[in-house]
Amino acid sequence: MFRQLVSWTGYGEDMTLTTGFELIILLGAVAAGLLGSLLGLGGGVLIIPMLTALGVDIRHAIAASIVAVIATSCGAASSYVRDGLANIRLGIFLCVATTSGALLGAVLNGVLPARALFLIFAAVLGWSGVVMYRKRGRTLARVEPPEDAPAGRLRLAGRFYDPTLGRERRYAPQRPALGFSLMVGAGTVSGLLGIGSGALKVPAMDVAMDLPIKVSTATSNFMIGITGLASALVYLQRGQVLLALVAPIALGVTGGAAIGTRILPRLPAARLRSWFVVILALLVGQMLYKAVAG
Amino acid sequence: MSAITRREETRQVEARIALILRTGVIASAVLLTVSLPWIVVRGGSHQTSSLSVGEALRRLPALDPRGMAALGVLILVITPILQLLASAFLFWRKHDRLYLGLTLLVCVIVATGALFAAA
Repeated sequence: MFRQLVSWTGYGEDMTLTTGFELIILLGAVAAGLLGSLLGLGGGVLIIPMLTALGVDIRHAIAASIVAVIATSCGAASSYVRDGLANIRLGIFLCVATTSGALLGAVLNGVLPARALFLIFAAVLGWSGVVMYRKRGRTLARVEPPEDAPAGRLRLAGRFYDPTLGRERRYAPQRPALGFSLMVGAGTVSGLLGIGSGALKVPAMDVAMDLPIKVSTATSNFMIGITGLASALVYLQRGQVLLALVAPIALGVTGGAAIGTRILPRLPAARLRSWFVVILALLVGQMLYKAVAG
Repeated sequence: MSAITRREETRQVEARIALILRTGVIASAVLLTVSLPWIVVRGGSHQTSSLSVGEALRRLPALDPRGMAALGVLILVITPILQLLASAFLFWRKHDRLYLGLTLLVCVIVATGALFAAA
């Protein structure tokens, strides 16, 4: 049915988008931003399955999504940076990895067949579900480094105000080389699929580098915009960014995310997440179907 | 410079980075909101061609909705560039050569992609 709303003259060329179609993607983007923020996932992993289900070419969907990802992450990063939660040194250090990966991903995006993109997307979506599910009830029980601990060559250690302790808390990132390598992978997936790939940054920052979750979330948001920039410029130059898609999506996702943050405290988050596993399973199924059926 | 003044200065630059990010997102949201009704109502192939930086800049003086939407998207893309430049400024002020170098390296990586894609 939706296919009738949009008629294609082929990938990379002009297409006709009707008013109805534009409204549907605007509403879909609001829903994706809302759900994404409620569940701690970016809007990107939700908007791309929605667009492809509506018949949009996956490469156009990816290019539009990465611009929306920049919008949401910059919005979130601004308050994290203001509150001193984002570790800018750590962010810049890891951005060397993620932007390199993002370039590789954007190049692969132009080379790989659409079926492969659907398949990889299904895998990343499934993994995001696992990470999100595991996040439930996580506690913070990390060892605080002593005041006079050696800074190390990279000087990545930092501190932040922890309201549960009522004082500043020190932390020192562990295994920077491992974290860096994992971030190349996260950046590649971000560039390839047009998503923030927060779910891939969690193993790198929370597990490998042993960072407090607040710092890793804040620093990750600081990095997502810069990482997105690397691939967005490639997509822009390649002519993959369509204004008629990107305008409603960027606006819808940011608006949805803003609403989500407002209503989040009033919702039963744990129950929502369980429901969301069902939605994610359906989306993974849809992407796998596209990968197989073409 | 004492440790406390240095920390104070870091906080000031961080506040400025936060302001850059917020301004970029809000400015782009305003432009997209103003131009969106036009994009939604006027379906048609003329508005769905791909977005290019040059075209957005050319349309800028005319202030038409398509140009405004394009500018909104461009501002979003420019925001992380300003974020990078502000971070470079932070490290420069702190005489932190290692991280100033790493920030500039990130700028080079980003620029390389854009240049190669254009070629």
